[in-house]
Amino acid sequence: MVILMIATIIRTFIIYCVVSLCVRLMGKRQLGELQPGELVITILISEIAAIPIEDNTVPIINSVIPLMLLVSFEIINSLIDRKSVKFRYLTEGKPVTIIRNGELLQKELKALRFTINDVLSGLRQKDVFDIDDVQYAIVETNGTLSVLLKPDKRPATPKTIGKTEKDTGMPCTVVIDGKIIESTFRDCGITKDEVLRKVERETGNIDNILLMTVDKNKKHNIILKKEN
Amino acid sequence: MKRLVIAILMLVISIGIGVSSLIFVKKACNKAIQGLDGILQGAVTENKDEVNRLAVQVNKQWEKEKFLLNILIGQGETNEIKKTLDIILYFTQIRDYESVILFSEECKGDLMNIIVSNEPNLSTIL
Repeated sequence: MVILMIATIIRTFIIYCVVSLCVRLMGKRQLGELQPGELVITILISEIAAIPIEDNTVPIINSVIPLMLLVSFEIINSLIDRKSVKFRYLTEGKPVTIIRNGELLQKELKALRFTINDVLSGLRQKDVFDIDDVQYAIVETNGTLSVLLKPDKRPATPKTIGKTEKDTGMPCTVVIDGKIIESTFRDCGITKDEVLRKVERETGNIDNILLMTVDKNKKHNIILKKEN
Repeated sequence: MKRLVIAILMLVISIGIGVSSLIFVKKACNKAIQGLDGILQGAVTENKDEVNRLAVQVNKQWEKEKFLLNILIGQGETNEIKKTLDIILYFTQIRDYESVILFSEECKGDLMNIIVSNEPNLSTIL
């Protein structure tokens, strides 16, 4: 019984490592937005990985080989997708416009087997409550809805009201949990010495810092650790 | 490009493992069948030294290959064969040649079954 339990633990660990590696190899896109093929691969991976964990008599290699094959097929498939538009359309389909200038394209809806409730729900999730406000609504290949509002319904931006805003860029994380993250220095144009000087001036000890960000204009924000 | 190389490498490794495991299983089973044939011949002629030597040899050989066979075809089938080989060895030692013949035939049948089920043909694949 003990041996069986140890075997299960080891087998589960091996499968965990293989599946983690597979998901990592398939890339970040896999985790965010699933295309039809990727959804199939994800379901298959979870199914195949579960078999040797549940049943100790099934050789682990019977799972590892299909997992490796699925991942290699997926990588090769996505690389061909990038090279060939025709192949991409074949495997992923095309985005479909379902609203044009406030008009619902019922023929397209029927082809997608979308109900009017699906459309209304998708629009509401984009903070749109009136179909008439929409210039274009497009169902993407991964099933999400992209919405472009009519020009008079779009939110105002500094440019539309004739104002100019100072570009602060993206705040870069330079210190996390008291550790300096040098890889972000180039993005915000700062040096390690400058960071250390700011730290010295503000807190005296870098170990007290939970998070420190710096933007393009060298404006910093520091969050200190709180003692419980 | 790096991913493509990894993908192709994984594809080749998977196919390599698949093909080499088929060859390994077939070879191990054939070797055991050969040994069992020798045991059967020896048992018919009641050549006790030959039967004893071959029974020990087949047992040892199976024990040696058990680790990889366990990984490739599963513990169930491998242990079943090992159990039968142990019984054959026992009957060889007490010189019960009728039982040796009976169990050798049974063991051969099991080994043939493993070979056939690992044979790469369309019906097995589908």
